Amino acid sequence: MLEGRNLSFRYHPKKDWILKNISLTVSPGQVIGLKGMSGEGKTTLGKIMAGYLRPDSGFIQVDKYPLPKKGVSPVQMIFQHPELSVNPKWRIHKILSEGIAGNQTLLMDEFGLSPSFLNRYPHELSGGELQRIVIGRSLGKDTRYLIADEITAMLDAITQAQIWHTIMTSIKKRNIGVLAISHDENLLNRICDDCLHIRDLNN
Amino acid sequence: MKTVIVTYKTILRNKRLTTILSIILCILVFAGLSIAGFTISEKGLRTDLEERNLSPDACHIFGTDWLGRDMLTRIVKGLNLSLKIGLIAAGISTMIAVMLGLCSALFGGMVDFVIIWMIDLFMSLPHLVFLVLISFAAGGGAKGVVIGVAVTHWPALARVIRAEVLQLMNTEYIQIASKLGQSNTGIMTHHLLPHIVPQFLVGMILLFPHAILHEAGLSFIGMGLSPHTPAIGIILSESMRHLSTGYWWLAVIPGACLLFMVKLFDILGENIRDWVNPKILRG
Ligand SMILES: Nc1ncnc2c1ncn2[C@@H]1O[C@H](COP(=O)(O)OP(=O)(O)OP(=O)(O)O)[C@@H](O)[C@H]1O
Ligand SMILES: [Mg+2]
Repeated sequence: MLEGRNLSFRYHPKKDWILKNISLTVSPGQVIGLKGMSGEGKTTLGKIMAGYLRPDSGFIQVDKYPLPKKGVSPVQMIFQHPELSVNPKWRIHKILSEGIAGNQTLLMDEFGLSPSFLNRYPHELSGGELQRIVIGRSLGKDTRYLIADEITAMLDAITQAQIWHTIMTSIKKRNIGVLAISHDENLLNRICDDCLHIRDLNN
Repeated sequence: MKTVIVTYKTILRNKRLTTILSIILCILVFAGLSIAGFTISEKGLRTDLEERNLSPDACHIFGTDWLGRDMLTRIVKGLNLSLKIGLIAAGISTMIAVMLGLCSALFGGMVDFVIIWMIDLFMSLPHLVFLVLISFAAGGGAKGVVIGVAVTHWPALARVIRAEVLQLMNTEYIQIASKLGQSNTGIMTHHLLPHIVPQFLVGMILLFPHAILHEAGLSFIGMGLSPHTPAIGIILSESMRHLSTGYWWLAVIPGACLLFMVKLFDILGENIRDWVNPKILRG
């Protein structure tokens, strides 16, 4: 179980609290939606749950253990802009190899991508294709939870549906829990077991 | 004929191609100069009092000096020496810059503070005075020149590299790499170093002209290489005595050659910068 307990956070000691005493849990295989107005702190909460930011108080646990400070993390975060999530000078196979030790062709198959993409550079793929690569990279053997922050916000409805369809089968297969952050209520209603509003979590 | 004109136009329009062509051209000139330096006979350096102060002609195309030495030989040897000293000095300087820039960005805190302080110190002091002092303290000669140039020329590049690495460390993909289990040294060798290699190369090549000019300058004022070495700075300072007597070729030709070489390095550096940063060209 991925557990955030009594999390509080602000970017600067003189600024207002962005998160105040928030608790939430994600179970393996479960998809939790997180919605809220722009600027309410969804990305911030996601980064804390994935260990990119340290909370000012409260803690994160995965199966009762804190997140590791070094080495591969069981919680992986996927961001909105795939082109920022990859080294622009690397070919796709090298990008994937950072997260995936095994067979890359199988993974490309799973995500409906041609294996010939493996030899291309990021700017030679479309945004949707590159986001699938980024998602695939995050599904290494140690990954137990995904934080997906607006990962399909810049894509058209059809591509969005396709990507989420692939994610849903992939995570069910691996029993991975997901925290899906989005503005899109329809999307969240379709994929989530439970849908939370960040305003209701903030105390 | 028409196709020739068309290809010529496309070459001009295709900036990337002209960039690569000028890089090749510069490298060819330097290669030619080094080969000439190795193959040219030492005979021209011997004094020959019967052939004193000859103006440029078919036999001595750059003329001879007041001891009858062939100026072409002296200039080729001198430029080669400059090239060698420039390479060593620029190389050392670039190493210092990369090391300090990386340390500053990666360790932060006190290390960063001290390095920044040193950069500011070196950049605020008058360059030439510092250079003269250091090369004098280092014992003068070729060693003094190399140390002087190397120690005074790293700060600008170190600052560029520090800024670049800091910015890289904040990029999403490097933060993700660390969450995917990549170690700090792995991130440094796989993400950071390849990214700063172009900066490193361009910085080094652009340091060359400085190193060469400073070497010539130091030798000119008598603080650099010994008077017996065939160096451009020595040639120029000797020619000073003969300018008023009308032996123009003793000063004009070596000066022009030095200028030509320095300018060539400048062009090479700028072009390699454009080449490794094609976005600047497109945008
Ligand atoms: N690095 C930062 N430094 C200071 N303040 C920040 C920083 N990042 C975000 N903020 C502020 O924190 C607040 C929450 O930002 P956050 O990105 O978490 O919102 P969000 O809910 O994800 O918004 P959106 O729906 O637009 O993505 C905002 O008011 C924002 O201005
Ligand atoms: Mg956000």
